[in-house]
Amino acid sequence: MSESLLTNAYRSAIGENPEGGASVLATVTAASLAAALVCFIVVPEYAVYPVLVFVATTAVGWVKYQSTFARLLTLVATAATVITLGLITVYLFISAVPAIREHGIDLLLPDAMGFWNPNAGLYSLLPAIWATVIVTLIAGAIAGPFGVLGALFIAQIAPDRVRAAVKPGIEILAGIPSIVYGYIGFRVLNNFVQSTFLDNGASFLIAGIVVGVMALPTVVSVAEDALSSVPESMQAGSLAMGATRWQTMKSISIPAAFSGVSAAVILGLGRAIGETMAVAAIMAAGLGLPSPLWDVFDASATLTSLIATQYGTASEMTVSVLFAAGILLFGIVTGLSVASQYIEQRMYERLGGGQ
Amino acid sequence: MSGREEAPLVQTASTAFERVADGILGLTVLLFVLAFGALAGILPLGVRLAGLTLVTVFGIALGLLGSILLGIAFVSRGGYVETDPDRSAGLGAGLGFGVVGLVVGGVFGAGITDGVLWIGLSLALGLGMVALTVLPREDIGSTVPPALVALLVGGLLVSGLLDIGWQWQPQAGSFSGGFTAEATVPLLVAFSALLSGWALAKARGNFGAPGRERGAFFVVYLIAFGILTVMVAIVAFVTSRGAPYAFRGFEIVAQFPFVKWPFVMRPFIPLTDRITGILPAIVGTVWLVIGATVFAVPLGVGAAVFLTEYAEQGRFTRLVETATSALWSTPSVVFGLFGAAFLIPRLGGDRSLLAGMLVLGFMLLPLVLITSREAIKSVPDEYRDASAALGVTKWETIRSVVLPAAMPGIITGGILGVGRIAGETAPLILVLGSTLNSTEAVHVIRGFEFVMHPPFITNEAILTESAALPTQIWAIISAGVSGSPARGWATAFILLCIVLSFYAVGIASRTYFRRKLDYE
Repeated sequence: MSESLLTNAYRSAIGENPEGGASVLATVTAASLAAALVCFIVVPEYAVYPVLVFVATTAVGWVKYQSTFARLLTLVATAATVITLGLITVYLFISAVPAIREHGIDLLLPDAMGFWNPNAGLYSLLPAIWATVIVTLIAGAIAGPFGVLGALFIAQIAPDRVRAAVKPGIEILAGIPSIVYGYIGFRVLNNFVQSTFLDNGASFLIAGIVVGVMALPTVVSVAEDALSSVPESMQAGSLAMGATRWQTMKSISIPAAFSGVSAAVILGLGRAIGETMAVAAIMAAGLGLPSPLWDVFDASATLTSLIATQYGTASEMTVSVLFAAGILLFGIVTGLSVASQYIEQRMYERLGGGQ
Repeated sequence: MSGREEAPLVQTASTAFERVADGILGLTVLLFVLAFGALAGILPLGVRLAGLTLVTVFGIALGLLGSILLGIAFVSRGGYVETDPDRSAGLGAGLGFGVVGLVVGGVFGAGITDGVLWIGLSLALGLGMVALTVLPREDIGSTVPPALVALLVGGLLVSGLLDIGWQWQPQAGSFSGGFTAEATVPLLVAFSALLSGWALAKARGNFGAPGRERGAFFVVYLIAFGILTVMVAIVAFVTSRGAPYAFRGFEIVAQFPFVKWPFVMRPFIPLTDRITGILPAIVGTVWLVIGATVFAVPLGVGAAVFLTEYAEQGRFTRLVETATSALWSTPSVVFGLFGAAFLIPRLGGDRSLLAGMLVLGFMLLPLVLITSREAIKSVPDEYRDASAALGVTKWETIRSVVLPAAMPGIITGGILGVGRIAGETAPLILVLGSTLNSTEAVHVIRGFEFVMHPPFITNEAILTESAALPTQIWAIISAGVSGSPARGWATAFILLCIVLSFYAVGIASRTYFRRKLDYE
């Protein structure tokens, strides 16, 4: 039976058996909400009129046709998530259009005369992209292995009482705000590094280590959830065959939890890429490609810290370039998120799900 | 039957060999801890213990460890102690020690010879180590390479070749930083101690599979406690720097509000020698959190209800799931950009508290949605079936059965989400600005007033900039030398207290409710 999209949407919004005048009132409510949204986007001052209509019809409908309106309102709330994502994407692109139109691919290419000189109209995001890559690689090298080992400890090795103390501890410590890390890095680490690494402190290495420590609890929490959900029967079977606990972990639990563990590492990488304040506080000055490229003791702003530090004093074109940087960030992190969901789906199909 | 001998299935009495191995393992851990203490600057390298500098003590300890490991190799291979080694230590360990050999060879080669000879030396040493680990029996392959590393490092330290004041700026690779003794000695000592401890733990387990298990567990325990120590040290460090300044002038008084806490209750007052505070920042953060919660929680809970109760699993739900996941992993600074591009032009064109509230609300939305969805899904179907059997309609069931049952989970998710957004800085910098020394807190409730033209209701207070705790810290950082370090530490301490207590309450309530539901 072919039914139009509209009828489907209507049915899912109102439900199968709407009461009396409910369908009319619900349609008016939905229409007024849509109008309010459109108004807010186009002419914000007049958005209040549709909002008042919405409030009035909702009040009446809630009193008279509560179940229909409950369904409608929750559908609206669900649509809000998708609409928010859509709005973010659209407005990022709209604001970046001037920069893309004027500079196009030059934004990603090096220039003979330097990289960032807003007064001369010189913009290149290449050093920021490279800085993001270096910092994320260093952070991943720390958060990945240590995070998985920590998760292994909590999930499999630690005795019950130690586990009950350590797991909430790590989750609480995951909440330390990034600006606090940034402040510690700013006040303490730069001086410490100066005396021990013969460098002036602001360096990819320090920023990478700090970001790695920040992403570590995320990786530990998610990987621990994955490792704990390996079925007891698989591990018990392995132990019954005479394998030691370590052999069971290595050959049974980790491969079985592989999708969750890789999702954890990708999540940690995503967090490392999006980290702004710690990097901005540690590598405060300058933007440039390190020479040679792998010099981890050099410093440069990353995409995130570039946006945070330059936005306040930026001209219109600079603002637009910063939005282009934002699109890059958004694209990279969304790509990572989609990749991790894909991996989980593949693993689920391969290892047989439901457990 | 008489005369039957009973052989124990598992050896339970510990032999002298095992007790000695345990003691030395403890020494290894001590060495590891001391090395990190030296790295952190708590133990200066020049401190004297029984007339010898710490460097020399490290060197002697490592030399001892190396010799003991060689002794264990001899004793085990010679059959003097009953062990059960495999035929080889395995390719994994081989590769690990091969890399160590490569690095040592490369470093020494670069130091001794010029040109590309160092590559040859590096490869030779690397392959040699691989052969030494993989080819002999496991008890030699696991103990001799770590012993060599420990003896090498110990030798460098004792002989004074690697002592306080040593520096090296490698030309090869042209890094712009260098290595000093303060960093290199502790790291080398910790690394050697780790390797020796791994080998000792293997020996303690009599090699073979149980030995490998002990070795692996030793390393994992060490790393796990290292991680915990780092995280606790961070909190302790901020507390030690910030608490004294934050609690200046604190006293308990007789009438409401029963405490006099200047740092938290007073704004900044310029040109005075009274103790001034960060009240505007705290008030700002409180209003941001309230606004974000009022915006995000109804939307998130409503969406969760629709997705679990009303919607059919299909394209729409998958689309929403992808959108939620994408929103959840979006960097915070991108939310700030969105706020600047979409919200600010429509809310008066300037940075404002309202824009900050909405941006934080957008960040809170996916968190609330995900946790509420989990909470609602975990309400057992029996509840809904029983309610339907009594003739209750779907919405009534949701309202009176499902939501109350899921409420603990929803509240927990909300608390954890609030803890996260209270500490967010990057989006606020873009939409709220960072005020350094705010002299007056916003008065939101007093600010509401009706006007004649649309939108008929305005609030001066939330349409202006405001201070907030995270942006205040950023302002202190960007003020550079003119920012007061003590105020910065104290503000960081207060922010840490607030955020961590939200997280602690959230996690405690989640554990409590999980236990209650499991019990059922």
